[in-house]
Amino acid sequence: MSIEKFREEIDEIDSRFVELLNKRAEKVLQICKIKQQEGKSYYSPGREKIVTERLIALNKGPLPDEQLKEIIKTILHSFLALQRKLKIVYFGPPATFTHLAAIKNFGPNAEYIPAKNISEIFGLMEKGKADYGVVPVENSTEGVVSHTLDMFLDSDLKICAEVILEVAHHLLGRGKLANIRKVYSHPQAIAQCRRWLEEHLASAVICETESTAKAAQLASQEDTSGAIASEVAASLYGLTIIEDHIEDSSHNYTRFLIIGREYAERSGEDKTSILFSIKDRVGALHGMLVPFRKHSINLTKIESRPTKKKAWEYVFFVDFMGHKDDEDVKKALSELEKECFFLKILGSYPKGD
Amino acid sequence: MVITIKPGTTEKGIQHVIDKIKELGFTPHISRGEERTIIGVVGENAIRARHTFEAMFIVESITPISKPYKLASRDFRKKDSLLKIKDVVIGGKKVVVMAGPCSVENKDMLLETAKMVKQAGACILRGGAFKPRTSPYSFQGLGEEGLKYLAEVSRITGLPVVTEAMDPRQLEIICSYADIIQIGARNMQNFDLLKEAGKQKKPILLKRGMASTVKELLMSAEYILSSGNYDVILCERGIRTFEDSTRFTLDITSVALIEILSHLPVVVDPSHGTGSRELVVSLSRAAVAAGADGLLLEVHPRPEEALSDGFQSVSFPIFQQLMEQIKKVAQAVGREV
Repeated sequence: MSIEKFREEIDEIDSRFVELLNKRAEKVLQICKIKQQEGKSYYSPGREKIVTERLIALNKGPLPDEQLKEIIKTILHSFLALQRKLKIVYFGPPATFTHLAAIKNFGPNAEYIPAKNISEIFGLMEKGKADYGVVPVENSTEGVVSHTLDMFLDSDLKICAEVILEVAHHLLGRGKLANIRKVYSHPQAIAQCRRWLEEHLASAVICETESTAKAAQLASQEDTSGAIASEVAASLYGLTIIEDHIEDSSHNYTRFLIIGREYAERSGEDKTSILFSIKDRVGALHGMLVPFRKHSINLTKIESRPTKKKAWEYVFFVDFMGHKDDEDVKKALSELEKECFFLKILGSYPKGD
Repeated sequence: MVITIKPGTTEKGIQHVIDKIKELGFTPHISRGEERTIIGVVGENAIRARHTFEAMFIVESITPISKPYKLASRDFRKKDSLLKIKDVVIGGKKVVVMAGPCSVENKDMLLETAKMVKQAGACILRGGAFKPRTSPYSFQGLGEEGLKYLAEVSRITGLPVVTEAMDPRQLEIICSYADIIQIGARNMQNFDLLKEAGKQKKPILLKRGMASTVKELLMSAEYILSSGNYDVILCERGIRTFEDSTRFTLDITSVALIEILSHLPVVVDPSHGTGSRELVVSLSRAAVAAGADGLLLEVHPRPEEALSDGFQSVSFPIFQQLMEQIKKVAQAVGREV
């Protein structure tokens, strides 16, 4: 067959694409309408995961799975903005890692609102000023972002998705490494690059900023200052990358949470986050974990935080595999409930990849 | 003081707070809302114990109650209390009309009245079996026989029944026949009766004494609440003033005032409040407009033949007109009848 003939066929297929995409859009809008009547949000991370996985399983090639996944993601993101643009509040300013995580999850067709700090994100969400919030929760090198966990103590917001982002830190600046006298960055980023800084910039003054993007902004105004931040921040603030990948661990990941007002639907591969408090006595914490073992539930994280009410009294944050509506999870949680003073399900959400 | 428990607190957590309250020698009064559980801690100087509870993670906040009446006050509960009696909800959007004869005279007359008031839109049947009368020579009511008629007519029509108890000794028997126990104006400060009423499982309709202040009415309600019965309906039925052209002066102000001071529902009795049939319709409209959660009305098929209070009972046609009029008023103030 000739090229012309193939092109004709491609055009034919593309026309059908457009037709099918619009048919799909009509159905999505109908679902939006129903959900709106029920007062629910139409964003469903659980459903997105199911849709993606089903299509990947159908894939016979020659299109590789990874590329198909990208295409599906783009389509899902476009459809998400079909009815109206979702308002997403994130830990700003623009070009922070949280911003990147937000874009990874919601795509380019959302309205992104930068917040000054984590409390402001929770505040704006509680006031209904945004549909979803994006906050960092833990880093694979540095551990938890305690401020985020503390916010959940008094908030009724739910975790509805998680985003895991590989975080690459670069030293940005306007001059050479030898001229750098001062380094700006967020305490988390500084901690993740501590060894590199000791080796290469031992005499530089380290200044903490509220975000990596803010650090880049400050460094852009001073000739002998650098910032630890992302590539996106470099282009946004007109800086060059003096040294790339300066993070101490080559597997440096940060986990972000998408917070909303509703629990996410089951996707088949979910995680659940809970918060509980107990009366302090011998074996109490052990007792709390027994139901999970009994029902063969895999705990992925346990973290304690002070209650801030009484000295040496703690609340526990536990993450485990499974959805709150799964039978074994329900059983374990009802057993746990009988033993503890306080139990809140912060969210069940599709496991991030 | 009022302890507000954090949403997410388990039964075991709530029990821990209750145990601590008891350990300190106070009485806990628990109110479970849709979102939050609140515990009233009542007792002299209860507020001095606030630090013990403030240190608990599961305690969201502590609010002192400044008023002398604690459990009856808005400080204790921000939302209006809703009372459910069979299918009838008192304190909600619907203005509940309780109507019937002043006293139960015989079964036929009671049934005739009940059917009529139900058809016109009343939700609860009223009728006296034990009557507090000014004169010992006046008709004193049919007693238990009257209660039996009330129960039977209630069964036939499906209307719940409210009737008065005058003495703690009558409570048990009245509770076995009636759905709501009324404590009359003359007994509003009969503290032994109030305490006993507080031990009953049936809702109490507490009428304001004719020479009592709103504060005294709420203090009397506090007696019932603090004895463990949280289902109290307050009733404005007129007070004695220098004005002698009506039997009492119906204090409409108290309806609006109680709305601010207390979470308890409040109903109005324009029949006793005015003592005059000609005024009942107008004052019913006024009561609904002022925000009353219900009306208590005396209706008699032949008011001129009534054995008691005939001069303030309305006839069937008047009652029907009254219902039509208050429907419009209710609609205008965002309620329904």
